[in-house]
Amino acid sequence: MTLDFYVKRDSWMHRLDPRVKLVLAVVLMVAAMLVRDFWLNLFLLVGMLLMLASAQIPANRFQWVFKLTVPVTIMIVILWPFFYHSGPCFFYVGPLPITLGGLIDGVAMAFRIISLCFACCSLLFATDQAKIVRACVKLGMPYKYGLTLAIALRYLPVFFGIITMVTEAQYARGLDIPKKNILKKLKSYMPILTAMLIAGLRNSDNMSNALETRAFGASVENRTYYSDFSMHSRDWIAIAIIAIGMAVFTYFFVILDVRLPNIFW
Amino acid sequence: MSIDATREPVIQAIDLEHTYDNGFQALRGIDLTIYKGDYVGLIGQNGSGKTTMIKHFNGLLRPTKGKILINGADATTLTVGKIAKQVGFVFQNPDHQIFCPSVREELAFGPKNCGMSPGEMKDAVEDALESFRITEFAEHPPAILGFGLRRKVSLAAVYSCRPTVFIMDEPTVGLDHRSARELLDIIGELNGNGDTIILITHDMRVICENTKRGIVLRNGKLILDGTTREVMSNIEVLRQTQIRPPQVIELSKELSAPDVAEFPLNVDEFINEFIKTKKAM
Amino acid sequence: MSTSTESATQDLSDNIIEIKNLTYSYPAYKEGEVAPKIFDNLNLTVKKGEFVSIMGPTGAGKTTLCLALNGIIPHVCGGKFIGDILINGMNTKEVTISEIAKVLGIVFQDPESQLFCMTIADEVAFGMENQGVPTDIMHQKVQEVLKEVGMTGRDDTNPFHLSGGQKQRVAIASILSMEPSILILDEPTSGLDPIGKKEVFSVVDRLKRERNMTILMIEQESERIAEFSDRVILLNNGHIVADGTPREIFANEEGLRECGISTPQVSEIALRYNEVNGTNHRFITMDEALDVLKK
Repeated sequence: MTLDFYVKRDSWMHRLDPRVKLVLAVVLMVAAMLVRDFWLNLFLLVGMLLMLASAQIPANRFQWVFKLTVPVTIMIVILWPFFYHSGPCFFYVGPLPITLGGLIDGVAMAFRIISLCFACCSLLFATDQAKIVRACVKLGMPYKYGLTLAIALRYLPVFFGIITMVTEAQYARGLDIPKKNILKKLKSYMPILTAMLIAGLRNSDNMSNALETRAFGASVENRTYYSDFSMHSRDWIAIAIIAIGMAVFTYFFVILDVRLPNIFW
Repeated sequence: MSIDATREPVIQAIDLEHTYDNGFQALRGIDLTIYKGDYVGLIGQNGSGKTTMIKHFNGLLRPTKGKILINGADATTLTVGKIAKQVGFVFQNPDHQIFCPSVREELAFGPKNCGMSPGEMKDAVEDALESFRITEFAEHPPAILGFGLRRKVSLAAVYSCRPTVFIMDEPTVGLDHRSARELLDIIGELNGNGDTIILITHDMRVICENTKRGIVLRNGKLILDGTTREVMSNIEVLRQTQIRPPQVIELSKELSAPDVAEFPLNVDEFINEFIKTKKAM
Repeated sequence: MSTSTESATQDLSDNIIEIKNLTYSYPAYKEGEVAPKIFDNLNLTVKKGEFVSIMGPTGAGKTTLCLALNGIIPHVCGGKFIGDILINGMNTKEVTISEIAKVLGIVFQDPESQLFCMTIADEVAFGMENQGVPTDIMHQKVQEVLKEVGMTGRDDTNPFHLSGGQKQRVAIASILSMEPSILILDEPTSGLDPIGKKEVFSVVDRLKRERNMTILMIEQESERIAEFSDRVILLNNGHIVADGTPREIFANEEGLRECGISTPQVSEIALRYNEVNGTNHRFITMDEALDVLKK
């Protein structure tokens, strides 16, 4: 199992400076969180899907995100109408009216969740992790934190591999994890956690030696970088487009408070 | 090897296939019978399907096609915990199973899981400590012992569950020659007491000097199965799998007539075959 | 500057590693206790350009020796350190680890924990980044060393996806990129499958032939040691118990057995052959054995 989202392609999005993509992802996430209106949500989601499609992200990645969000979105669509009521009423569950407006708002909520995921993914699918970390460092994150983040991402799959092996090793010694009693279940995970911790400590000890051997900790001011990138005109254009988009959005929907027409009832 | 009716099968794979979720077919129709008292060397490059196969032997994986019988019972009807009492599995990295504050507790973990009574458990732990010559470290925390000792603890911890089949994945890796020899002697004793051993190793000298039967996997298929001597003498097939037999075998091949099909497995046999006879001539 | 031949001979006579009267013990687990000595008055010199293999049972002090050579001992580990280690004339006690790293690189046993970057190129560049090598030179160097270890074109691959042998080759490349004059390989192939071992040893062979490097290799595989080494050192309980050419070392089967070391099978055969025929052969390779035995 690897948590590598990156899809290697040569699209306009892949070519953008990672910092611009980082900004774009943050803006899209904020937008997804702020927008409540059904139509705007739909617009945002479709827009993002089109953007990713134009960046040659294959369909199976889209499916993967949808699959991941299905349980949450279904839950929201079902539960939301219980708490939000407007428009014509279908029926009552006890004292609670289930309304068309509630249902539509629930769907909009579900869109928001999906949009949030895609906003993250727009960054992860089109930028390799090393460059994301490098972008963070370039935007002012101290190098040590950047390296720590990179190491964490690098060892995530290794860590899952170790969990699997440790679990199998304990199963092979007859460890049965009881399914029902949560307390007992937690207790029986202890051997796995302890073995993991010991294996992890050994690993980190070796790693610190390897870091030292490669002159880590030499005078940091002189540090140079292998993968460096700089802003090109296309990046500035992208920044401009993002800024204009934000301005237009803020002007119409925040300052003028435009409401899109309700065609449902 | 054809099925031997005179011996008692402990593990049988019948047309065993396994395809992982990602579509990778790791095993392609394995037919194999392991008999009680066998000492098998399992050979194959990484990715040949060795690990996938042995994970079926202790129930960690279920066949996607075919069948596994453990002491005659279909493995799919048994839980991993139940199988653990019959088939002990020692993983390559001892650190993946060590977690107790003392060696004694480490060895008691398996028996406890297997539901032994306190009396039985005490006997099993003492027996394991003694068999693996680690009694003097019984109260030590296993995590801070040296690698060789941690390796022994990991074997003893499986032994204490009293299985009769042992699968060991690279037990000698990371050990120096002497510690490896010591461990192999203990494993030999287990086999001498009637236990079945399946040893996975890339070290052909270890295979030649210890096992009785050799099995070679390649691309998920069983390509060689026979006595260790038969398998090791098959230099051409081994070479295709990128396996180099020990020097004595390669030397023997060079020194023998082209029609000779079986070669000595160790230095003693080699000397008897080529040097002593030469002097007599 | 003198002529090149003269300077070469002079270089050869130079000791690039000097260990003088080294006594070392790790910090004690509990305060007041005294940890056992790993080395007691150890002396060792290695000449520039030598290929030295170090053999010894577990616990002989092989890995401790590596860590002492690059200054992790005593700088990071602490403990009681008496005596001096000079690397290229630098006293390890007086300079920082990153300064030692410029001349001495170590490839460790576990491939996973020494590759911590997300791409192979980043991994190979990491040491150079720390040393402040300019970006364009770095790019050139990365390509060079990746070619040297046979990993060209894999720049963007995550090390996680590599086989063990490939991982070790990347680890070697990431040290080579820093251009150290001394390379230490601490059991680089233990745990690799035969294909992986072959890959790593062919890189080691290439380094020996093509680079004028001093190489120290800790290994258990006596057959490989016989093939590569100019000199073999046998370490047991922190003492050097034997030091000589592979031929000398592997002829002393009894001494080796005492240290729990395996010899190449051909060397064993030589000894047994001598017993029977009253000869004095010392084979260390298959070809040598065949030459004699075919007669």
